[in-house]
Amino acid sequence: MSNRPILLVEDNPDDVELTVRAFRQNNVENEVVVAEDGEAALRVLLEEGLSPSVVLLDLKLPKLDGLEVLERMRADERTRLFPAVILTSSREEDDLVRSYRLGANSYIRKPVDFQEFIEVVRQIGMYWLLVNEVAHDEAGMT
Amino acid sequence: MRRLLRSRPLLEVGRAVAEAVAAGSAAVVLLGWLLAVPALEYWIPGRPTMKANSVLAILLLAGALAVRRRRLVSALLASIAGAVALLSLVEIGFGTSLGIDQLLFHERPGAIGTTSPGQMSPVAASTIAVLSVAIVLIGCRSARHVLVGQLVAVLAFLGALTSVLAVAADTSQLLAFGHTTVLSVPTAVALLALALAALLARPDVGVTASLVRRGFDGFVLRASLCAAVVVPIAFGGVREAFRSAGLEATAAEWLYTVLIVAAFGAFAWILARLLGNAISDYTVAAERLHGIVEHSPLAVVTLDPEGDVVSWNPGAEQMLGWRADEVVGRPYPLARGQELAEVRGELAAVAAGRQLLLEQLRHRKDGSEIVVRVAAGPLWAPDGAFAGRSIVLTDITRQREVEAELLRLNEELELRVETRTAELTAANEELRALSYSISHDLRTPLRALDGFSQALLEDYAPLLDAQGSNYLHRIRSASQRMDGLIDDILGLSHVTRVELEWQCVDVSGVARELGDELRRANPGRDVRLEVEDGLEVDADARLLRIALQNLLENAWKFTSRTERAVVEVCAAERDGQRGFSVVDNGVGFSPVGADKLFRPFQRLHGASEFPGNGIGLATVMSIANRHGGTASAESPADGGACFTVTFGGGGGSPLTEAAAEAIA
Repeated sequence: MSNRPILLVEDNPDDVELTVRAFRQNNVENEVVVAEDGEAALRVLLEEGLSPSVVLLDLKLPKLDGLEVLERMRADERTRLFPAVILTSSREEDDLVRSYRLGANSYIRKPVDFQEFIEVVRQIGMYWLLVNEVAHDEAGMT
Repeated sequence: MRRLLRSRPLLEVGRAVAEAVAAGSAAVVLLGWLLAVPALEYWIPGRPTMKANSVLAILLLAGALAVRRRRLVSALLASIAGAVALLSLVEIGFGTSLGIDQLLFHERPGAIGTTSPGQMSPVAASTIAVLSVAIVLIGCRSARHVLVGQLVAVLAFLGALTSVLAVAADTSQLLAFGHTTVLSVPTAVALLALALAALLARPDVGVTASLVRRGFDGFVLRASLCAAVVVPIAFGGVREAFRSAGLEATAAEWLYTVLIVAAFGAFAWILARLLGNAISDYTVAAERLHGIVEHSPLAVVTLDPEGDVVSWNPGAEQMLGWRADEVVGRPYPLARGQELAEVRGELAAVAAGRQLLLEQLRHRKDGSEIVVRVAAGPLWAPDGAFAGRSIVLTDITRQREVEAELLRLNEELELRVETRTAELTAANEELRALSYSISHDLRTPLRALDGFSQALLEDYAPLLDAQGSNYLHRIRSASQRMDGLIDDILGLSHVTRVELEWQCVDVSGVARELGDELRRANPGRDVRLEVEDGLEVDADARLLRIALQNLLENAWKFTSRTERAVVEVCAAERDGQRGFSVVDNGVGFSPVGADKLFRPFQRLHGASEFPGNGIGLATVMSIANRHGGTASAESPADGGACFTVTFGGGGGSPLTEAAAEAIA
């Protein structure tokens, strides 16, 4: 299992709390780094050089929204290969298509039912932390 | 002015024939001289020969006419012929020989009717001299010279006619002035033809122009001339016939006079009749024209060549403000101020023979503006000269105003459509933003409600009694219901916004697919679905599917208490629109409040009775409206329900009432 931290980009403290709770309930012990807006997320990734196992991105965020963060990540050599999963309430077809266009690795809708949500988070942990091999381009890291 | 002349080709042919006869006669005689065949020189036995110099002079004159467009050459040829004739006249007059008679050919002495061998007759010489003068003048550029030339040619023609008549009656020796040479047959023929050709050379000018003019005057002139020539000649023949039959000369003379009087009397009577009819026709036509002009609402004006007003009809008085007596005899009053130069230009163009049709802003007598359509054209005098202009003015001020108003209204309408379109686009955009916000923001608190309730249940279970757990479960299920409601509202909003793609949809196939899905989703239910075969409708396939899904789900739901549930899908038609009906044998609904069925969030059954949120039928109505169709429901007294959806042929409005209500 990857020990790298999980970057959770989410402005709503309730959702942060519930997501972290869901990870813990699924026995995911990785550090969860929270960025409350798009700018903070980029700062953590580009300035602080965080190398997460997966970035969970909400779409509606203050300052830079999730899609803009994704676009910047994909444009930067250092963050280009990080797995990015859109985790959002939106069920708009448009959001889904644009996310994949900009290079999202996955698009997941947050269910309202918390038990379903726990299941979703379990699968995220299962796949991105356990099964998936992350390509970290060390040459690109400074 | 050309149209006043008789057709040119005919005149051209006449002239060419006359020239050919003149030149041909001379040429035949020339051949006789060359080949020494006397018959060709005199044509009729016992008559004098045509002399070589006459042949030469006539050929020169015919040549001069043929090349008359090259003035100098033509004049030179005619002058040589004239010189030969004059020299011959000198010889005849003084009884001497200048040695010119035998220059070309020798004539044997003692030829018939010939005083001096080879010398032309005095008649021939003088006619040729006169003709040469006429042809030189006719070749001139100036119309006046041509006219004089034609008069001289008439003189020559009369001389030639006299000669021909004399020759025909074999009395040409009478014209020989005693001892001199007698006129020959070929010479007489050639001279007459030549004089005719000279007259026809310029049919556009002078005497000939009058003679060949179209119209009544030309006809009268031609008829009179013909009569003046033919009648005396014909009756002259009659007189000679009576005389030779033994009638005394004086009596024959009387008879001749009476015949001439009778003939010309008859001729005058016919002419008077024709003239009377023509004048009467003309008067009627003129009156008719006058009436039209007087009663016309258009301004009809005529101007003389200088631009002064000749006539000014009541229409013009009415339209332009000037009375006829104020403007007749004075310059055209519309040519004033800044319009002067413009009008002058137009008048000049008309004078040049052009027809004008244009629209202009002009000023009335009182200075007010008027927009007129001007139709102006030249008037020609009977002689083809420019006689002035006719001007017809139509007042199109009102028409222009209406056009401008129409244009303005159109622009306004376009602007309004643009504004409305922009408003609609903005409203759609707002709607889209709203759905996005609902989709995202409304769910987040719900998730918190559900999530933290669950957290309480998990982490604080020992502190909660049964009632407390129950409440938390209720909070959770309420959150989840609201989540479903949000989905339905978004679905309805999607239906109102999505762009229609019309195609032929296999309703039977879609209904069977949906039926299978419903059976799988409700394994405990036994519903018999009867679908009519070959049911097809023109609609958007995705929306039709959503509508049919909603109706079938409803049918499934409301037959849940029916023992033998049957749901039927069949073709339907309402107000000429095609569609389908979904009929079930479920609980049906009370007719009271049935009209609310298709409004969003309206339900006729309690939630505990049948679950639902009242969006399904609103979505169905919205889909029908989007297609320009409608949805309706009936429920017979003995239970069951029938829902009918129709699809119009055209595009429905993108924002329907139902949708607007749903958003409000």
